[in-house]
Amino acid sequence: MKRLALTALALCLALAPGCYDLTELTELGLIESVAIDTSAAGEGYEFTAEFMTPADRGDDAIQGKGFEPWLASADGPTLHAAINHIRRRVSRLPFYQHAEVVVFGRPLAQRGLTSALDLLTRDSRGRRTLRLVVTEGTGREALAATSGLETTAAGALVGLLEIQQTMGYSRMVSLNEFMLMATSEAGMGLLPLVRAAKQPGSAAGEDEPLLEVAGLGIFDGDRLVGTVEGPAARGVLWLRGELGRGALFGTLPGGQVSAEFSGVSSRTRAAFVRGEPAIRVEIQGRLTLLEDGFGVPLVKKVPMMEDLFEAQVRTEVEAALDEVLRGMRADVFGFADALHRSDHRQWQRLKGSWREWLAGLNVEVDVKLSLGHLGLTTTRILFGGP
Amino acid sequence: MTDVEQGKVSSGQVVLMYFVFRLFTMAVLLPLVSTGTAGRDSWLSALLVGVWTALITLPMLLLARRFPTEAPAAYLPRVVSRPVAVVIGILFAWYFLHLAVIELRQFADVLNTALLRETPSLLLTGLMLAVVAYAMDQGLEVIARSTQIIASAIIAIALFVLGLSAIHWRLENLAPVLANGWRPVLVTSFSPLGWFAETVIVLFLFPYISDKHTLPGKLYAVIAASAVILAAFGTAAPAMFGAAEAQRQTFVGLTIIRSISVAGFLERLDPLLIVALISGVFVKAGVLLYLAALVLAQTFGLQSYRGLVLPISVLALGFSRIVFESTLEARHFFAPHVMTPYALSITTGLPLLVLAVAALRGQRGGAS
Repeated sequence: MKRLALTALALCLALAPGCYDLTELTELGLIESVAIDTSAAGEGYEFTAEFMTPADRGDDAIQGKGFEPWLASADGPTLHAAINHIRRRVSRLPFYQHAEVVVFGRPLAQRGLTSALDLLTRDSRGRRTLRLVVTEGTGREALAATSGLETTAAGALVGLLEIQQTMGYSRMVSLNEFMLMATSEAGMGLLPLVRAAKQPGSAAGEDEPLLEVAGLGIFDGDRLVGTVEGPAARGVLWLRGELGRGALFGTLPGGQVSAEFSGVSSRTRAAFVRGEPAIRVEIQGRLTLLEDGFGVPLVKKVPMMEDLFEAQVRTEVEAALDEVLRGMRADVFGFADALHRSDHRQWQRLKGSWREWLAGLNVEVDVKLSLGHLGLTTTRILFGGP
Repeated sequence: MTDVEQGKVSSGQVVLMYFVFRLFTMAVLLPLVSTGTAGRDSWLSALLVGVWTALITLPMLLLARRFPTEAPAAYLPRVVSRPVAVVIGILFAWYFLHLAVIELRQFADVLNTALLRETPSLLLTGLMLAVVAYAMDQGLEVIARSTQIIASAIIAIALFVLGLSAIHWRLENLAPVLANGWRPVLVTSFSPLGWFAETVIVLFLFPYISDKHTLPGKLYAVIAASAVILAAFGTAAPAMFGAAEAQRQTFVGLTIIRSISVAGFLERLDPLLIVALISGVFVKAGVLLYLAALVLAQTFGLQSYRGLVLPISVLALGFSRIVFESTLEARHFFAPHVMTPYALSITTGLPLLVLAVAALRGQRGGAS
């Protein structure tokens, strides 16, 4: 009898699986990405969420039977108030746990992200693996832009940033990475910069703006202090050793050449020389030849090409140092941490005036690229004829 | 006098109980990082904790081996007089109850924060206490056997999580080593000592261990293993988040596990923590509340501790609601200047006192 009663009791437990926290799938609104902006009033926040329903993630969605993600916005005096106000417009329970990207509008980023970062790291619904992005306009505009091949802005942003991670002029930054940068000795960090822009050649009124990666946003603490694009953005990543693959090209007497770099790493050596900081960055990488347009014997042209590409990297690095280190007086290269590691006591003496040192900081850069792979052919095309 | 507990356990089972205690506290609080000040040098503090624990455990073991077949309640009246023995018994019963209540509250707080935001913590604690009370009623052997099964799962989870988190470690965050000298490292090493002093459970379980002679070796091996795993967690937190961010976390272990992402698909491993948490609190609350009931029954000469299981469980349920107003208050209590002296004065101070008196009087129990 006792055993029977216990069995019946155990079976009853199956009827009570987390009933207090139970939410049916059909009551959920899945959030793919969020945008955080300043409110129209100026001081407050505007919060935008890109919603899907669980059905949108079902078989029909996989088979391409399209749907439109839905954007809902609300504002409030604090970010949390804005997030709560969105409930007045959404018929389902917002489910934040699957959000992939947070987009900060430029005006908010310039004002400061402290409150947003605090909420994101404090609320258990967020994760430190969330990707952070800053956009040139407002975050809402970025989420409303055409997502290209993807069905959601979140998908487009993650896809674009994953490609940049290996190819180019920006990089993916998680919430945890940004917090690490912001709490480092320099207290400065970077985020990928995106924009919603018309494609080249599209006339006014044609085509919706398309999301594209523009470069990097540079932060002093929680505030955006500037942006870098093109060679300077890549220069930042050369110095940080955070480039996967990418192209280098140039002209040598006799023709054009190009190569793909890979295996990039950088090492910062910092020291105090007569009480002053001295920085040396060693950048290394491998090259694979892609275009060979001039007819010089292989043994001669390999060093020529390496010199050419190393010079190009130095140019990009100098552009980064000019724009970011000297122009914005921002150290997003880890120099402060390297100095701290090299001599803790001298660094403590210098730390308070680090920004003043940045404009005149002498950074020696040593670039070593080795062209080790020639691709599937050895020489340039040898055309026949007289 | 017939002992209120007739069961026998092995020394391996007892040290596994202690190991689960350690892993549970690391998974939830990681006081080394959350209340310590060593920052990036926390791993050094962890290794020192192992040394301190080995030292403070010595008087407990010496006392236990002096009276190998007797429960403390049996020999304490002979050593320190009956009234003092009653006070010591009550103090230990209180300590075990208090510790169990703290762990139950932490368990409910983590679940309420991370997973079950709407579920009343009273329900979470109450359901757990129902299972714990059942295990207590079944006796020491059942608790020990459950611990054996649960420990293997918790150890596997701890090693799995540490291994995966290592992918995210940035060891440069740990440099420069000892930038602020040894002082913060030393101070921080006292932070988890209040928890590590839970080795005192062996003092009360010693009479029921069948292979007593193997206990010291196994216990010191587990203390060393606990210190090494603590050092690994003490490395993981600052290496992943930076020293400042690591210290800002309420539940460091939870943040570590939530930050793991391997190749974009092996992530959201929180359920592993929840498994470790639920099974860990079962062992810890089970052993501690059992000891509270056992010590009270032995101190006051009851025929069985089982009559105390229900009152102590109800008391623990109510007490878990009021033990802390908030996590902030809990954090203050766990600070090295509060928790450590409180725990050490009971777990180390009292056995040391009794050992000294027994040694001076040349008192000794029967051979094992």
